Amino acid sequence: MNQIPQLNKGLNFWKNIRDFRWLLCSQLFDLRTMWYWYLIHTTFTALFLMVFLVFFVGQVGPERVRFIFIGSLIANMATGMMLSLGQTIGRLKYWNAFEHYAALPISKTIFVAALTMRGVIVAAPSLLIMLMVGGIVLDVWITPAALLILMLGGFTMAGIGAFIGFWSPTGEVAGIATQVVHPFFTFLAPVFFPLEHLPGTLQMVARFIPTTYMAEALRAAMAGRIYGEFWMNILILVAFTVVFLGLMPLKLDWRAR
Amino acid sequence: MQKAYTVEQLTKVYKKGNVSANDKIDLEIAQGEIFGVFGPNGAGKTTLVRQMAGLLRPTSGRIFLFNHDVVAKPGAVPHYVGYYGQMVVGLNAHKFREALYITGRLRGQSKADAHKQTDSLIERLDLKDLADRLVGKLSGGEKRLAALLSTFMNYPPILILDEPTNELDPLRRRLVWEYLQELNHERGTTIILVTHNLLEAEWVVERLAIIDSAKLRGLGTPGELKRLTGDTVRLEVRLRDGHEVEAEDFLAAIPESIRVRPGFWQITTRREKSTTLLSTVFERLATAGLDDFRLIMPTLEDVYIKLTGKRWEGNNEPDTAA
Repeated sequence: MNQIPQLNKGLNFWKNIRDFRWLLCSQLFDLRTMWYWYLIHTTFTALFLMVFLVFFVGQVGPERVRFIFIGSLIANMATGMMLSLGQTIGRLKYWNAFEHYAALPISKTIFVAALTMRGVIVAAPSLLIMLMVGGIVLDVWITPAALLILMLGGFTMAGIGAFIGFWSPTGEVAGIATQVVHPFFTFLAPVFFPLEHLPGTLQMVARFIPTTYMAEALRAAMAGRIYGEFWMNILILVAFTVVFLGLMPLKLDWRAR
Repeated sequence: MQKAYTVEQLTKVYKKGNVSANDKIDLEIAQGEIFGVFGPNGAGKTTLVRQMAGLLRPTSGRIFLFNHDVVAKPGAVPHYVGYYGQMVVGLNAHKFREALYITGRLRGQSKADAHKQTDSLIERLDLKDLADRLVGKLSGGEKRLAALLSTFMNYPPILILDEPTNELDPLRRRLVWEYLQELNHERGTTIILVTHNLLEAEWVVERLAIIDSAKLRGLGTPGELKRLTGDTVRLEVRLRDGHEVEAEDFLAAIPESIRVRPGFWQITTRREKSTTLLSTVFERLATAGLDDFRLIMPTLEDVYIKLTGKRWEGNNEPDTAA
């Protein structure tokens, strides 16, 4: 006869680790047949943007080239991690795929973390391609500190994509919302240019956009300015990540209305 | 016997279109019971069980699962309940074997136990040919099977199965039912089955709720519900070609006879008068037109008609679980 299991109300650390592993595995399975589409989608948009900008601005100094390169990296992450993940989650919602996971004894936070990690992993190859192109063609090479920013920024972008995906009422809204937010993060934040180039009001708005801090931290890291404001930017990015990845699942209700 | 579920005044109104899907439903399900939720399409059956599975927020009312208030705290439900819904998504990129194994691991099974149960289910349902194929590339019935079997992983104490045998071939349907009955007998698994298949409802479940137009219309064992029809039986008579005219005059004169179509008649009578009716019909028609006959005890279709006043439009498919 089935023993009725006692409900474990405490935090089960090892189960959460195992669940993360298997959930991530499940989420990565669709790459079996679709990986090349993801690679094309996430690489070519940002790569062509970078090439366009290099041709557009013509002969410029290393500082401007660095702006273009970093801006393109961030655009790549916004596309590959935020846009892609938001739309994937929206699609899953449309198909009611969450019901399968909602009916399992897993933590919502772990589920969101696995989805977010999927977003980071899916975008990683295109990011590597961008880094190689930047180094070989533009002679702009990434530093270890910049890599840290990229990793942290990746989770922030993916977390925002997950947030949009989960909070949108339908898959279509999720798709539209990510495409509306994407240009804000890429073109209305000081990603391709310094903050001072924006009008006063937009400078204030930019302070609420995480890509502002990613761009500033990346530029500082690649210029070797790893002090003071660099660490403040890191802290703010961590705060964004905690909010979107840490707190959001707590408010997430699996149940349909 | 401990109660697995207690549902009190459960109501669900979908805001879009202001549609009432469940209207003040009260019921209890004992642990170890095979309980049916029966009704036509659109009656509110799926809405009811999705709320019980913690997947849909009720508008009002309460649901207790082993004394846990799952309306206030739906997080308790997945620890006790394996849910199979009508939508089969989320597993399409998995191989069949992976779908079962990973669900088992996510349900807390050890590596060895998950492998053992996966292999056992594949063997038992004769699914070796499907085991290493992607679920997304399988037929509709095979996809459903992957989702259904993954629900069984790590033997949840309660299974909520929403029309589990839809699209399954008769052999696999029988194998699934044998397995479910084994789970119920050997492990005391409570099975809550949503169905609009009359034969499944009659022969598999121990007790059932009849839902129609959002309301609970009847609750009890199949026998208790059938007694609500007033202990009547139905004689069906088929006539041979060429003999209809004289035979039909005779049949038309019998009280409570209905000509369903040319050559096919139904006569309703009380159980105690069934012998007399049979003798009368045989005496008159045995050599003058009787091709075939059937004496039918009340079915759930009759119960449904009695309780709702409507004709049954659901599935009467034979040979499902019996």
